[in-house]
Amino acid sequence: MSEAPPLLQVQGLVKHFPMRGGFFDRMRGHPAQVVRAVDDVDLSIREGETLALVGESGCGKSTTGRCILYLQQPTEGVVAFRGEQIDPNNTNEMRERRKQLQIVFQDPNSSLNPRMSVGQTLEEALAFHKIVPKSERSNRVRELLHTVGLNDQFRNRFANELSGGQRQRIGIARALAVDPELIVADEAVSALDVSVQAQILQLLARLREEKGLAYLFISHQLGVVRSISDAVAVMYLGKIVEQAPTEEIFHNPLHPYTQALMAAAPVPNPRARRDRILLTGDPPSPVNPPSGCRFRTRCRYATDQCAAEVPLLREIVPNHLVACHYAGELTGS
Amino acid sequence: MEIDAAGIQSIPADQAPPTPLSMFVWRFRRNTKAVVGLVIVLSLILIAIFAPILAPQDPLDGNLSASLVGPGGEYLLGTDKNGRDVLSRLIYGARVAIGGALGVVIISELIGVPLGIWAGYKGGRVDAVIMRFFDLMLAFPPLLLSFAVVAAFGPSLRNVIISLGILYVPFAARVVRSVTLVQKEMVYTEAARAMGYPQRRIVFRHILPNTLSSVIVVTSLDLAFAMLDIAALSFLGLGVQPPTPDWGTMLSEGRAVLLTSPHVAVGAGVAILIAVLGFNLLGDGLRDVLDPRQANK
Repeated sequence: MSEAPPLLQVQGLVKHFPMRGGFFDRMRGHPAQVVRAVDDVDLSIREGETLALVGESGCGKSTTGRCILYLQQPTEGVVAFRGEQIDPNNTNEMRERRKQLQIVFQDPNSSLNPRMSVGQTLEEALAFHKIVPKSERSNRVRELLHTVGLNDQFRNRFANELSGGQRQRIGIARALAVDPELIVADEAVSALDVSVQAQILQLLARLREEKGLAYLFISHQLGVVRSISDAVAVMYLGKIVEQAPTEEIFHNPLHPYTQALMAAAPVPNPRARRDRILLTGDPPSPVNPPSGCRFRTRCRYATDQCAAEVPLLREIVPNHLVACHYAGELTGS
Repeated sequence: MEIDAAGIQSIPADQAPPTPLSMFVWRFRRNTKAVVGLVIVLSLILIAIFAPILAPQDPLDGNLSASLVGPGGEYLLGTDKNGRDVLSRLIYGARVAIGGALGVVIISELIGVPLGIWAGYKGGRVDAVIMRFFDLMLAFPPLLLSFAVVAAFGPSLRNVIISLGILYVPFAARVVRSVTLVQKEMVYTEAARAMGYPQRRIVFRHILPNTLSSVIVVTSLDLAFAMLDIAALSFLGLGVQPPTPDWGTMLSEGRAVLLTSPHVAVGAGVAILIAVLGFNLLGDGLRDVLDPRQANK
């Protein structure tokens, strides 16, 4: 039985940022260094599925999202949509891809053009991609605003007249304007107040029901991730270290890094007894990642084997992939 | 909150907040510098437009029997050595001053704004080449370069305007480039790329309108400098040629009789002073009004 290809398939995604040394460094023949922001990442998202990508700041989760949308050119790797790869230099194919894949950004303060009204922003997207005929555009704007829970009067507003939550709703409406099938939500609620976060999350969940949208939900907030995602991938220093269905990973985190992340998440119960796993030190520099397992410098279980061999993602429990030599043997304390 | 049939709540927009324009007007009126500058500039423009109505005498037609008459009496500000009415010449001189300065600024911005945006948006090598070339231009004393151009093509107002216009390009370009660098990093630019808009559209539809407020401020300040430079070149005999009434030329003519009849030179000097002051105040005020965060620094 041949299975239909997943909606989005990312294979071997690598993004290196060359660090241009200064003029004098180059004169002295220092080798050009490279920031390994994303190093060999595989992801796949099925239709209507929400995959969360979590990890601490600077681990490469946003870069992964941007590479999927070709906002940044991947150094290596394949991004296929419904099994189709595209040539980023082919304008027509890119245009189609832009309609299928959209993004909602973190910073609601600068994600809207201050000189364009909400209506202009939405109409521009509709007109450019010829989503509806010209006579229908105004109606469609009203529908879009309605979909994200805003009144039609908002079409004449400018960004500075909107609250953070309202701006984020407009950002979502803009993404929805082209009828995408997958939305990359890059820390889409992180900059909002908790109560507003909940509203936006409900909105995203409702859109998923109504339109069968799939999300790549990039976040560092585990509580948020747990409420919205079907599956979770944990990233550390440019690599995915663990991937599993949401409930599985929250109940049974197998990678020591995931265990530490879970232990660090705040619990809304002041009397809850918590065993905290404190990670010491900072994440190593992605310019010179540690040999073998990248987490070994901060891992309390690290052995010589961790320094020597790169752990591969292995399926320890069905559907639960872990990149740790000792996965399954370590009990999260 | 409205709740529709599908049970979806829509937040009604509350009372319409002030539009950007009304906010601008409100802040402008509270800024003394801007208001005083605007009054001076508007008066100058009106004087230039209605010069034939306002001028009491013909600015070109001298009465040689009434040469170097002092102020007061029939001639309010006196006459020059050719017996021409100083006040009328000052009024007509506003035309050259404003027209010339506008010409300089328009030329410099037509070239400088696109180059500045291009350099800022493209970055890298394009940016380096354009900006290093501008640094090179800035390394020359501007009036000296203007001398060279006028020496080569002959003294005339047109040549002065063209040469100053080109010399002012780096000033316009540098401001626009720095604003572009900021706008380029704004998330809305990235959102536009995610929408698949071509570069041209992003630059002209999204970034250019956001540089406008800075361009307005630069325009106003550059007008003051251009006016001063044109007057300086005319003073040296390289710009406006007699008998066209011009403040710089009048200053030069007045210099010869400064000790006996100071009113000729003083009238032109005060006219230049007021005009430059007006544009400078307007530019300074506009900067405060358009970017309130910088005003308190």
